Amino acid sequence: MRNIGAFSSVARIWGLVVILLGSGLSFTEPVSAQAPQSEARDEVTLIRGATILTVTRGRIENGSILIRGGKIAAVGRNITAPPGAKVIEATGKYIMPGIIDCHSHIAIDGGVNEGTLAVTSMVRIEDVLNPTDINIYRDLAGGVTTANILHGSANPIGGLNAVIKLRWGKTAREMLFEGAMPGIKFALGENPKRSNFTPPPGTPRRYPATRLGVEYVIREAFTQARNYMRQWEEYERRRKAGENVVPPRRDLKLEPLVEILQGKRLVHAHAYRADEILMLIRLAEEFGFKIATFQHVLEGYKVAREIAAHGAGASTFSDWWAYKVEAYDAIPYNGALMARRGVIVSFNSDSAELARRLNLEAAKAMKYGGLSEDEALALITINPAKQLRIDHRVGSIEVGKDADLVIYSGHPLSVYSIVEKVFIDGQLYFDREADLARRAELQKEKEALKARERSDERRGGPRGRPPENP
Amino acid sequence: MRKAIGLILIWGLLSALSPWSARAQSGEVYAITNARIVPITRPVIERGTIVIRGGKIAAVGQNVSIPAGARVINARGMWVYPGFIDSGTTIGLTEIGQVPATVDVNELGDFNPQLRAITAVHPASEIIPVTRVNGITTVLTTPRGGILSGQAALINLDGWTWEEMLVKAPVGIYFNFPSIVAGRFFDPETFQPRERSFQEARRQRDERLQRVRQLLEDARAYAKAKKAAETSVPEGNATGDGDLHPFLINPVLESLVPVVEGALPLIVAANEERDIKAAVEFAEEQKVKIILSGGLEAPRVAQLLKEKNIPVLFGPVLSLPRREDDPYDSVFTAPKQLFEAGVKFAFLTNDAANVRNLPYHAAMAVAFGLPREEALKALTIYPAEIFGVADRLGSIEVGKIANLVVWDGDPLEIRSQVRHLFINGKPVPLTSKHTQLYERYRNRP
Amino acid sequence: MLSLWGGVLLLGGMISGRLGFGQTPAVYAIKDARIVTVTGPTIPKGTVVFRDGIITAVGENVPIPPDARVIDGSGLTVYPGLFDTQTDMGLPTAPPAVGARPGAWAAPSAPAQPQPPPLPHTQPEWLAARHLQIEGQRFENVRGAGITNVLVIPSRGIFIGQSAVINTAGDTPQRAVVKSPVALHIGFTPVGGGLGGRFPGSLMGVFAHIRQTLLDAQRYGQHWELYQRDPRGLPRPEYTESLEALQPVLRGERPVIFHVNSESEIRRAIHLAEEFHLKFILSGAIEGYKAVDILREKRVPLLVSVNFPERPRDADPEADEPLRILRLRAEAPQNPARLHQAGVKFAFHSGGLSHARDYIRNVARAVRAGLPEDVAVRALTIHAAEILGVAEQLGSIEVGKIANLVITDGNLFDERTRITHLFIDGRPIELRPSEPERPSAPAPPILVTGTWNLTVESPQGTVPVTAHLRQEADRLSGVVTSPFGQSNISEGSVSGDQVRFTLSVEIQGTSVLVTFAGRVEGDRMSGMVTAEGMGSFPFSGTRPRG
Repeated sequence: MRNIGAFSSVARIWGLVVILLGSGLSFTEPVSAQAPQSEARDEVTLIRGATILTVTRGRIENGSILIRGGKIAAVGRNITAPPGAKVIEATGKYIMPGIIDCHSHIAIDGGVNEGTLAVTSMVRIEDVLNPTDINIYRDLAGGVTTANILHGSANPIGGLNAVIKLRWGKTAREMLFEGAMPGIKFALGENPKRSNFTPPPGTPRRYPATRLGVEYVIREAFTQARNYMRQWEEYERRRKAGENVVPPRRDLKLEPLVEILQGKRLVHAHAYRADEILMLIRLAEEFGFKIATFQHVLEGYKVAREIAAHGAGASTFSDWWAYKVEAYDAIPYNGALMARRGVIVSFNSDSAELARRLNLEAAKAMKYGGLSEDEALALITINPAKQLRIDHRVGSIEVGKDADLVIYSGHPLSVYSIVEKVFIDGQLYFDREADLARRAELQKEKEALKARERSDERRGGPRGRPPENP
Repeated sequence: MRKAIGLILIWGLLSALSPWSARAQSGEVYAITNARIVPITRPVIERGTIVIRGGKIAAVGQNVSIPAGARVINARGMWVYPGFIDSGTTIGLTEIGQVPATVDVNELGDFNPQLRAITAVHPASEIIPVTRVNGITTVLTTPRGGILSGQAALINLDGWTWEEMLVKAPVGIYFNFPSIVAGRFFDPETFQPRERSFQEARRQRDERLQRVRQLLEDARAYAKAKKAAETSVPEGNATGDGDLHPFLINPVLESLVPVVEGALPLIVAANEERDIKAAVEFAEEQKVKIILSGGLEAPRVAQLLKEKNIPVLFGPVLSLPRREDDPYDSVFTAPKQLFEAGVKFAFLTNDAANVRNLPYHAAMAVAFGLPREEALKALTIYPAEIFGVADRLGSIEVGKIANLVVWDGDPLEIRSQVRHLFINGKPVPLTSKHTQLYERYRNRP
Repeated sequence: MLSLWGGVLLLGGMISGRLGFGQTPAVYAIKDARIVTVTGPTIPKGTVVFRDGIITAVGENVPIPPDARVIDGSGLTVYPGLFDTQTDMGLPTAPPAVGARPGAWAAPSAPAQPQPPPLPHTQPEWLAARHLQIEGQRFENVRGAGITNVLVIPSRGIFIGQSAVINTAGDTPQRAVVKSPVALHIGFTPVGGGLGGRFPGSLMGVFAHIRQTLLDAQRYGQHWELYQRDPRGLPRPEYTESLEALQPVLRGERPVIFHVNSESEIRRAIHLAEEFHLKFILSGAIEGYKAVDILREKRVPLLVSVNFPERPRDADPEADEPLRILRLRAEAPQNPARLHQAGVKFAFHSGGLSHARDYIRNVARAVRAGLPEDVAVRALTIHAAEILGVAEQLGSIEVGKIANLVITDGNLFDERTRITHLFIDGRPIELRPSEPERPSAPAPPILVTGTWNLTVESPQGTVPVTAHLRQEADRLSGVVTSPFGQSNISEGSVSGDQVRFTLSVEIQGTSVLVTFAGRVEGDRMSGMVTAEGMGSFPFSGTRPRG
């Protein structure tokens, strides 16, 4: 850990001035929970006096973190605040890396599923991110700083994902996790085969209706992708040879599949039963690619050995079960059993509500299966970071990583602890104190707007037909 | 004679040697010793003993003598709490949500107050062992279909049959209070999106409520006729017209008689402020007793609930705020607000498979301001009082049913484990489908 | 209030909503009026002369031709005719007919799976000018509000079609067209639907569809180009109308107009347009003020809707509307002012406001909310003409331009001002008092009373059903006869064009509750009938006339 070095006592006195960030800030964004101000990227902040849970390098009692330019510049015991730094006193608090939710459907406009076709790899979550979804703020208030926003599980091959940081108040583009490796959603089992859904009379049932069909749809798609690659190779060859040739049709459905074959796109496969997990592993191996993560993977514990050998990660729930037949053998020991076999395991939410307390979900892995504290914390930090290939940027408190940090009132694995502050890229995006202080004001504003509207109506303002709903 | 004695001796030997079966006879005596005891209604006993006999708590205290022949459980370093009570579940009535054959929660039709949930509780549901091994020993299980869904039952999570599980039924009649739902909705019959105006939505709600009124009116008339029939003298008839007027039993109205007589409450499921207010008004008007279930927006109506002494089965605490502008922690802080307003409440999960997480709903309320002691009461004595079984459950007191859980830590903390479990004074094994699958697959080579 | 009475010019007895062409020369001079030229200084007292529909002179002291009909403009103001830059008036209300291009993505090969039918709303080749009617109350109302030119296109769809600028009056629809096509319109309506419907059923599906179609169009262009250069050895390209229609768009010769309103929608459209280097305009832009950064940076011209969001009339009075929505409603009228302050160029459109008067009224609201009045006038005239590419002909009072003029007795945005004269193509238009138009969305109350011959499609075959229905306000009663017998309707209602009625039927000894729920259009009814415990089946039928 780099030490800032000895500064004069004057500087230290400056440093001792407590400036709490984020109270009553910018109001240009029309959102009820406000975003903080201040874009100055070369700001320096020092958080000190806390118990730091780095996840990868153990625990530091009475520690400090220096943030500069949005990155963690120093972590250690005795770090002096450079002049001009904002200092946040965090005595008695706990700091951990921002939580990474590997399976989320928040912030999506116009439908989580393009469920009309069995293969929809041409659709992109990135096209429909909604940065004003209040659930972004609610999950942020639960300590989530990065989320893998996925297509739903209606299709064997679904759409392309978007990894975002929960930078509440920014535009959709600004929320995208820069440089995150692109991914795609696959789904196996009951959902893509529609066994729990009756279409309206008159609507034909969509293929596939069995797990066998699910396998075939995926196999056929990759076969088409291979053919597509060959077509383009052929075209390039002939064009370079000077022949008069028309390029093949670019197919947005097949191109992501080609990327998978080339190892450039991560497959996140929703799967439950042990047989289908194994099926996809073998199919992937046959086509020469690796599954990046199995999602839900509630029977993963039955084939943990095979998952580990293949090198797939497993992103699962802590303890949901029994809501579908394929979830009936789900056990809360799933995560621990897979972890013990060497699988990189993460716990996810698949729910805006659950995403607010992933720290407590992680604690369940200690209760069911006996993981240690650091192993449990890893399930929601460094492990999902690795699964998303963003562990060089986030997932632990180490110098050089993004300053995505959560300050808790107590140990994050205790039910009594709550989130007090959340930093993303060193900016304070959630501050419980500020949130509490704002409530009365927002309520007043709301009442005033309502009152003005009512009085305008009584005076008979012009009334048009409401704009058409999209 | 010698043969007889020999036989007796052999019989005695065999009995003494027979392995202690997990389900021991209720005549057995147990003693839990060296434990920190949390009776709930009395101060914590730092180091004490509990004696269980005949399914009941026979003694609790610091210096309690252990009866001879008692099976002793040394609970040194551990805590003993009463079993927790979940005040709203569908345990026993559902197994796998997506498989209709396993789900008995919603009957057809709007008015089924006569349906008895207890008769359909499936004692072999895998959900039962999974739930009790995390310290929940008693649940209220309710049907949920239509408007008047049926009769709720309070059950212990152990027993060979539902009769053995039964604590009390009916505890109340579940009533899905009709809501005004205006705006765009998806019509399942035409598979088209439709728009429902506020006027139309309110009219529909009023119609539904009117039908409930009518039913209660009929029940009152029925009760009166029944009473008259019971007290009338059997010689001749009062009308003197030669016709017979025997009193004919109507099971639907029969089930509502205790409701209109104020002896059986309606368990009213309502979450929205407007619905809760309307439900309270309705109860006043109809002179019936109600218990509010769900009540997520109850803090907005806390004054009224306190005034009318209406208890709330609150939850699930682990829910998203209902309104976009609600503070992000609005449901987490609701129990504290109810407590501060003097409203009596208990916790519910409104679940089946995830009832085991009940303590963590309570824990979240504590994290956001509810005093821990209140949270514990809302898991134990308060629901017992609300359901009228406080003489039997809800605390560790002599004479009550021995539903006791021995924890190795604070039960509200996730990491804590249950070490011993007693329901109806019998030790219950800490195994479930989950522990069995765990053992099996952990041993896969 | 802009009066829709006012002076009616009956010259030559030829005016009754239909303009005749006689031998009489059409030369007019409006003198001594205040003339708002828009592109030049306002002339406090001057004359404008126009002949055969073209302005021949404008100025303070302009000679009046001897054959001119002179209108005394003292106390009056002459404006260029106003624009409404997006409306579906004059176009068929049914969605455009299905396009010829098959769906881009078929279901995976399963022997039983039929080829899906062509996708609706994939028809860039659809020309509004071809489907135009220019008569009706709506046109009367629009003219009565001083609007002489509109851009016509349906508002919803994906590749909606190509719009046209038209005059709001003309002998024939063809004569009314000023420019066609103006632009290709792209919307983001998921026309498919749900888990059983057709692609695209989600918003992201719409984006994928647009993207793939544009790629296909690029390839199409490339293929034809290669083929035309040297066909030898190449497969012959197919002639596909829709891809053909996209070529000028890809070349940047024809702009795309995206129908977007929220900030997210605005940003998404801009990013999509940039992917294909399209020339584009955004239409709607109610939340434009939230995206001024990118609008200014990319210099995106806007057609701004003034259909400011209002609190829905028959909504739940106790509904807790989010602060986000309340703020939007309070801020929306400030949108034009804030766009102007940010230097964004825009014109106005009515955004589907059902009454033409409300269009100008809402522009006046924008003025009260801070938009300078002269900018408002420009947004109704010259900016509209410039953005839509008809600035050489319309949008200002200049020599050589078309004589589309609106004359008022006061400030355009004053409630009390009346329109006194309207000229389109240099011809006077009779202004009738406005009558309530049949609003295009909420249908007139349907009449359900009568005898309906219905058939139910059940798995056992078609079942004939006769329903004698009696409607009183929104309640429905009557008798239903079927092979199972005759039953009275126990409960029935009518709401909008939806009907619903319930009855009890004896089927094999059991009393079954049967509910019909459907839609009535004239004498046709269709929907679903649900028999309790037995399922739902489609039904349809007619009510014979007479």
